Amino acid sequence: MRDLELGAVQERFADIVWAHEPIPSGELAKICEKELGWKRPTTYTVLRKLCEKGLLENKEGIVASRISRETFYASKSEQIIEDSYRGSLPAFVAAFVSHHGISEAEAEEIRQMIDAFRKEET
Amino acid sequence: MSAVFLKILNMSITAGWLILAVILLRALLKKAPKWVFCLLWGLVALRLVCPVSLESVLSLIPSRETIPVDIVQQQAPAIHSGISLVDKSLNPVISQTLGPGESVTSANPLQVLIPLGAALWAAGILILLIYAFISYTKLRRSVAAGLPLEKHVYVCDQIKAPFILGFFRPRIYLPSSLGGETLKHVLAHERAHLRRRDHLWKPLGFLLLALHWFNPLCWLAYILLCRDIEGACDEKVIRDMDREQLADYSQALLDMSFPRRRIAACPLAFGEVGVKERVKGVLNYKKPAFWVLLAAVLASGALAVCLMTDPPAKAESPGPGAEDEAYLIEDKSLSPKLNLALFSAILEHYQSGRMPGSYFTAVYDVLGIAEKEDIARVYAWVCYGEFSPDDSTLFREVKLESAGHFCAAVSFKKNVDIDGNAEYELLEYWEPREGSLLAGDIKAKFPPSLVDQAFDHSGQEARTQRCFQAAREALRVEYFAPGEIEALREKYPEYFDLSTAKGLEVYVWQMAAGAYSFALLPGTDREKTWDDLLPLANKGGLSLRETKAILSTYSIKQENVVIIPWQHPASSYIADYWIIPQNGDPAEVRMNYISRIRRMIFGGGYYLSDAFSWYAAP
Repeated sequence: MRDLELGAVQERFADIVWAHEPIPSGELAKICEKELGWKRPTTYTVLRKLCEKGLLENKEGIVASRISRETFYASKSEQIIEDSYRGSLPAFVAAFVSHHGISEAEAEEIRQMIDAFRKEET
Repeated sequence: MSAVFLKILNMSITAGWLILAVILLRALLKKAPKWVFCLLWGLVALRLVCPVSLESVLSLIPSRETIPVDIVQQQAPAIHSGISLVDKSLNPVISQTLGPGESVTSANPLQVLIPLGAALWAAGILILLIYAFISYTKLRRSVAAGLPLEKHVYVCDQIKAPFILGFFRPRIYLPSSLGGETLKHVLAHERAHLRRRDHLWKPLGFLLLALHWFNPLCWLAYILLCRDIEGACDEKVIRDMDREQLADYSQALLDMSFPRRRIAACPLAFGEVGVKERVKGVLNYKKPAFWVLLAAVLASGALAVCLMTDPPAKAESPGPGAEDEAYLIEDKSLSPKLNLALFSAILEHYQSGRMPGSYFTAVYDVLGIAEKEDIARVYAWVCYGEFSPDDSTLFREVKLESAGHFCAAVSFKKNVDIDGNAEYELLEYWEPREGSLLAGDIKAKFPPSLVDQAFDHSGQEARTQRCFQAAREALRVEYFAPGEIEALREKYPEYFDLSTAKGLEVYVWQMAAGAYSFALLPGTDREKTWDDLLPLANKGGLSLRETKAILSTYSIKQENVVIIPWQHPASSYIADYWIIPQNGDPAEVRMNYISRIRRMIFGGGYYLSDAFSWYAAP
């Protein structure tokens, strides 16, 4: 059994497929638009990704799953994101933190700062 | 576009002073709430985008216009940074290397450099905007597949960090891996961003940065702005948190920066905020005391007044001409001494270019005279001409060898002796350079009220004619205006366009002593009869001047003009020609007479033919 990793969005999409399969891709797109507000190309992109991962298949326009829902949830592992947006965020976008990594040393330093703070008496 | 570029350049420089002050203030007021700094950066943005501003004597900006907008036309290009050290050290270099060269044909390097700079600037803006557009589009695409979580909040698989996208309908996008406490804090932070409208300020700031991309201070300001925005958001969120919550919030910050999967350290790149500083800021946060707030507000106010306003406009680096405006005197007539001094100055000024043996004359029309203490400056149109006598024609003419027609500003030092007599000593003879530099030179030197007259060339023809007149008088040249000759052509058509193949005969008779009359006939046989001459004589005969005028239309050598005295049958006056004294030599007497007539007409000369002129007896 392949170790599949799905993000929350992909999981939601997979849920839709499992709920309606087998379903023509056109109808799938309509459902996604209604429930998620997605445009057609978006639906097809996510569909393609999940097909690449081997979870779904799209034969002659009909979408079905290759792994059943029960099987999937039984072997779900820790979710780690792949295919994330790699580039650093553009400068003009308001964010929370925008650089995607600090050194372990620095992380350790900050961790200690926070711990010390928690331990302090006011 | 060059003008816009120069304006932006100047705005960037004045804003630079403000940026430095804000950086200083930021360092001094560390305890102040971050939103104060955001406001200050707002002032900076205003300065960067607004071309006009109020004037105030309290302004600390060194100069309102560092690079004069007309620098390309300046004779000696210079900047006015407002700091004399900078001006003194840079301006000589600028004038030397970037000013127009000695030769009239060399281009002012600035005329090429500045448009080039403007083009580069525009290119830079374009590149930055394209980068922004591309990044934005990529982001949009990556969040297309998102799940709505709450109103305006979406969850995406493909993003690693939370952010806000969109201007008019901003949405918060969260990574799908977020959960629990961290999600709560992150959402609070992003919502704070929304309330503060940071999703608008940051892109607008970036636009301004694009306009001023060449100014490193602007980049610094933007980096600091981003930091202050994040700090202000943090402060907004943690205001009413207890210690436990503060620790949790810091943990959220850490968690978002250091996911379980290890990533190589990246140096703090542009626009990204140091996590350590933010955590420190959160853990050490104290609600600002009243006095801190007060100090911050006062300092900001002072900053606004001193650096958002421009220094009052003084008369911009006036040339001597602009100052002279106040010293112009009513009377435009020159005293004899000043007249002489001026003429000598003109003569001396053009001395070096003169041909030897030529006659030089100049005329001038005074536009204005400025007198200040012991300096007198005359602004005038000067027209000079260098003439030489041209004896190749029948009558001497003047030939113009060279001429000039310029505006000049001639300065004299007025020395008044004890008797009150003034002597003028030449201090400076100034005239503008030629070609494209002329306009700028005149505008810089002449008083504003005289500048229009200084550009009015309409008097050149008249002045040149006056030079000719002066030259003719000096060289004793008689001048027959075209109008005069046309009138004669109408009155005496029979004297014009005669064949000169065999010379011309000028018949002269006297009706009374000193009264000479002339007739002109082609020199065919030297024996004109009464029948030939009487009709002409009865018409009245030509006066001396008329004769000369008509003769001047012929290209004939003087020696081919034969003077023949004639006795008018109706005249009772017997000319010397016919009176031979006893023992006198008839040939000599006649020759003397003819010589006299020739002198009258031509001013001199003696030709062999004179000895053989005779009157054909009836």
